[in-house]
Formats: sequence, C-alpha cells, structure tokens
Amino acid sequence: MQTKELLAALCGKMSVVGFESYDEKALSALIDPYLDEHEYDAAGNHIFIRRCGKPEAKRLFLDAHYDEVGLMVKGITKEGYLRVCGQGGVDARILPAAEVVVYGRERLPGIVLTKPRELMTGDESGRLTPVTELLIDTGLTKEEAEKAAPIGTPVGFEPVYTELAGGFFAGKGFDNKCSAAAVILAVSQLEMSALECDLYVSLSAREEVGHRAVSTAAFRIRPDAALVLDVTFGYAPEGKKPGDSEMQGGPAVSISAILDKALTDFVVETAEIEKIPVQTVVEATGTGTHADELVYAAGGIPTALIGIPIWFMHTANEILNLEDVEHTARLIAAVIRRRYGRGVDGKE
Amino acid sequence: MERENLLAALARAVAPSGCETEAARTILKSIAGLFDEAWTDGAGNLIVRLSSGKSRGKERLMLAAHMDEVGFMIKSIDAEGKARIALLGNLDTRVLSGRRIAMTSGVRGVVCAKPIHAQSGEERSKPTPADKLYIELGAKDRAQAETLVQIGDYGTLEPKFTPLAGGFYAGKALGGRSMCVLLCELLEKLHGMDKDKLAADELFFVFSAKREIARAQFAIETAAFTIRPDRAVLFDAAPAADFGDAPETARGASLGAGAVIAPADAGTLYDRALFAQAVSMAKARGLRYQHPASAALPGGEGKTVHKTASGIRTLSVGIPTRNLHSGAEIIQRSDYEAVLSLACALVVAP
Repeated sequence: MQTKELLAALCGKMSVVGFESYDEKALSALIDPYLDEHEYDAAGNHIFIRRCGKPEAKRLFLDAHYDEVGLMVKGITKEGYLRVCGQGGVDARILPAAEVVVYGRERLPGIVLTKPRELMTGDESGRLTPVTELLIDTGLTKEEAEKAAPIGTPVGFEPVYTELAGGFFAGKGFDNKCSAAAVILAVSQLEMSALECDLYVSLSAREEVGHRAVSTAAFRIRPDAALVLDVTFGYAPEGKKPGDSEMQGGPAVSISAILDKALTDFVVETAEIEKIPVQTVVEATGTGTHADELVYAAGGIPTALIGIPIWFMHTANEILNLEDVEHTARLIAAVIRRRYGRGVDGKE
Repeated sequence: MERENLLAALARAVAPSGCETEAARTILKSIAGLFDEAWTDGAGNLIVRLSSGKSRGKERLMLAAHMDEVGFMIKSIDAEGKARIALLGNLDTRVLSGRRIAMTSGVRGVVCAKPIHAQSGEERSKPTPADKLYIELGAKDRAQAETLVQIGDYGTLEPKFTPLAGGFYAGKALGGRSMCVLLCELLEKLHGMDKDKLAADELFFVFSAKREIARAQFAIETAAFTIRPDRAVLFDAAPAADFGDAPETARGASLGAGAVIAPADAGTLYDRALFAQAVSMAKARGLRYQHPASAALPGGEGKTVHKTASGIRTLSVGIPTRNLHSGAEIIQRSDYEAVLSLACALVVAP
C-alpha cells in the first residue's frame, strides 16, 4: 500500500479519545496483514505483535498513540441540535461552520451552526463560541436525535484528505495515526527471521486526555526498550516557537534529560550511518508525550522519542509531508535491524 | 427537489464575485433549449430571454438570482511560499481558519493560522484575525508558490454539497445558488407550457454577477438598465439565526417557515402592490411564507434595481439560509418548494 493510501485509511478511522475500539474490525483488517497477533487491552490499547520466532527473544515496544481529538454529544436541544464537549484539546477556532461526522447508530453528517454577521449584536463578532456552547445541526428532530445520536455519541472531523503541492498532505487524525502508519511501514520492511526480538506495536489509547493508558500496556509486556513515535510541531510562519522542527527535515529525534541517552544517541547514529535525513529537537526536561510515561513504567524502560513534524495540530486539516513519514519508517526499521539484527554490528 | 443534481453542481462550482464563469457555464448547460436568447452583458450578468411570441404591449418581467458567491483573491505571496488573501464579499472570517479552499484553476490549499500550542490564553477565546491567516499550498518558497497561484487568482472555500436528514441540504453558497436553480427549474416548467399563459410578453431571467462585493451599487444595474422591465422579482438568500438564544428581533428568517417575502430591507422599500400580490398569492395557494421580525434585513440587489432608469417596481423573495457566507450554508427543501411555487404563480397569468 502506498504511504498516502495507508495514511488516509488509518487516519480516516474514527478514534476520538475514549472510542479507540469503535472501528476495531476495520483496523484489524488494515493492520493484521503486517503483524501476527492483535490484542485489545482493558485500558483501550490495541497491541499488535510480530514475533521473530526465537524463544526468550527481547521485546521492543513501539508506541504510537491511536486516539485523536474530537467531540462528544452531551445534550440535545428542543430543536434537535446537538450540544457537545471537547474530547482532548480541539482547536476551537476551526469549529464555526465546520462539517463533522456524528458517529451514532449510523454515520450522520452535521454542521456546526454559526450566526451570520448580518444578525450579530453587540461584540459577538469578536467572540469565539466556546466548544460547550456550540450547536450541531444534523437536520434531525429532538426525538430522532435522541435515538440516532444519544448522549455520549462521538463526533469527529470528516475523513477528507487533500493532496497539496510538494508531497504535502492535509487531513484529520495525523496526530498521531501518521506515526502508526510509519510504524506499520517500518514493520512491513523487516525480515523477522533476521532479528532477535519480538515487536510489540502499541496503538495506545487516551493520550490526548493526559497519557492515561500506555503504562498499562508496558506493565504487561515488560519491554526491554521503547521507541515512542508522536507528531511534533512543524515550524510555521504564524506562531514560530524555538524548538519547532522543520517540515521535510526528516524525523525529529527528541533530546531530553528524561529520555534514555544511549538509545537516543543510537537512533541519531543510525540515521547518520544509513544516510536518513534526521533532525534533533531539544525538549530539555520533558516531552509531553507517552515517552515521559514509559521511562518510569514497569520498573523503568529505556526510551527514545521520534517525532514526525506536522502543521496545524488538533485541527481537521493537519498537514504533513509524505517524505517525513517515509523517512521515519526507514529510520525505525534501521534502528531495529541495527539493534536486534543477527550478527549485525552494534547488536547488544 | 427535482434539480438536486444541479444544486450540487452549482454548490461545487468555484465562482466567486468577478469570476463567475464556472457557475454561468453550469447554468447555461442545464437550460439549453429552454429559452429564446441568452447573452452575458458587460458587467458579467448572464441574461436569458423567454418570449411569449406575441407583443401585447411588450410588458417585460425580470426575474433575478445572483450566481456569484463570497470568496477571495490572492493578494500576496511571501518568501516562505505562503499566500495571503483579500476577501471578496462578506465571507465570515471566523470560519476561515482550518478550512480547505479551492482555486478556480483547481489548485487546492488549506487556510492555516497560529497552531494551538502557540496560541495565548486570550487568543484561544477569540476568532483568528483575518490578517493572521494564510493559505498553505505546499510550496517551499515564493517561486514554487507562483507556479501554483498568481497574484489576483480567485478562490473559494471547498466545493461542497451534503444532504442532511429531514430534507435539509448543507453546502457552499447554497442560499444564493439555490435561487439560480429555481430560475432554471422555472424555465423548464414554462417550456412545456402554453406561452399565452405567461404573465408578461417577455420574461428575462438574470443570473447576476458581483452581488457579494457590492457596496453602493450592484452589478445587476446594467441588466436592469438594458432590459428596462416593468417589474422585477429578485430571489436571494435570507440570513437565518433561528437557533440558540438569539432574541426574536435578531433571529432573521426561520428554516421551514417558507418563503421570505420582504416588505422592506435595509436598502429598499419594495413595491407595495407587488408585495401585496405575492402575499395574496401565497395565501390563496396555501404556501408557507414569513416576514422575519428583524427590523433591517441586509439590503440586496433591490437597492439598485428599484431606482434604475426611470424606476422599476421591485419585489424581493428569499430562501431562509443558516450559516450564510460560511462555506457550509444550510437550506431546507420545503422552503425551496414554497419559493418555487410562489415564483410560478408570479410568472403565470391568473
């Protein structure tokens, strides 16, 4: 499968925080060809396993959180409009007049209502409607909506993907399912019989509401090491921040005191040896990702963090460059081969 | 709605004010063979003439709907390859951030802004200011961006048409364009009809240009001047905020409550006789109609038409439209049918 198609298929799944199992069958159908086993654990993590076939093999934990920001129905007005709350930090500035998908009994399109300027009063035009005050119009009456989209129904962005120039690709859910796509691409490049480790790919749950689930997976699996993949902020003209990564700069390896220095250095060296474009970003005391949890999970796991730069995070049109995803996949595969390959230089 | 496919095609046409070509082409294709003559005037209005074949004093009736839509023009391209835009019409800047856009050339982009991690607490509670938005095309620098767009190129929000439950439709420019569909459907209905039954000797269907960028003067003036109709009926979107806690006087039109027949708006006091005729026709036929309580609905093309040449008796009829100028306008089929029935009544002699 081409990178683009894999991204659209994987990121297009609805996985709003707390609803990571919503499309489990379709997720399995997509990923099972690349991995041997699939478990869905009690905390909501999808764990896919690929084994090398050797007894007592080492265990590498590859984490890419699978949840995405979205909304959830929390009320229905007398006119039938849906009231919602945010699930994770949705950028509320992109919501007025947005088209969303209501994942109720059936998939329903909905439109976020916004007052036309012509009918605004006072200072309304300078005010952003908070998420909890938004109304979503599905065309249903109250009675119909109560059946079709009861309280607790997840609401997501439309799975629409747009190809821009220069290998840039826009759509929802790249945070962080583009990392999951990179891991799958990496695993599909590996010849397992040449390795001495089992791969535990964790498409982890509930990252967007405070990293709630990943440590349970690590506790159960007890990996020897962990590679965490998450998106990172691409440098953009509005709101440049020191430490932002460069789009098309390749995977961004985090340098942080909280991470394992030896493993981090190993990742960067591997990129240099394999001539894979790589960049480093400094996040001195913490990364704000699952890596911060894994280093202290299950007695401590040596952990490194690799980021894919994206623009416009937590919106319906996050933007990435396909090359960055492909280079990240190559880097993951190269790190695994160099670290766990049979008789390969640098093997532990 | 018989012409749902045409509505979808027109919602997807990228045809902002000043660059209405795609809408005009789509309209002309759909009404081929249904009229006597069609031309585009110097201001960009598409004018379609239907004659009764007789000249009983040459009474002329003009029916109009605007075919342009709010959009934008590329204003500048910076060294990093980001395009900045100038708005065409009252496109609501609060809805721009994060939206997909389309240029008339087919090039696609995304309206980007400061990402959430860089927004201050205060910024998070306000809409993104228009001057902080830019279009991401995927270009790495100015030179590459200029291969995709040029200064002055036209674009709109993403072409879009989505039927909702309950007979509602959502999509780009649906309020105005549904009234273009209505004129097309009217032409089709009149085609099979005995021309003696027309309420005037000549009917002119005007698909007007540049309505959304009008300030003091609307482009439809040139069509009205050329045609010099005895009467004009203008069909347009009527803004609706019929939800939430808006006070009665600021809710505008209501979806499902039928055709908006306006005695007046911010720019025009409509012809009393035509207004009374429309109301009595709606009553006689049991059509749903409304007069929104808002004191001053925004002025439309009537503002220019009623005082063109030696003056034209003018009436305005609207379709209630939620999310006006947002790229995701919402209309209801039953309202469209009510406006269409009223339009039929107005063009067929009693």
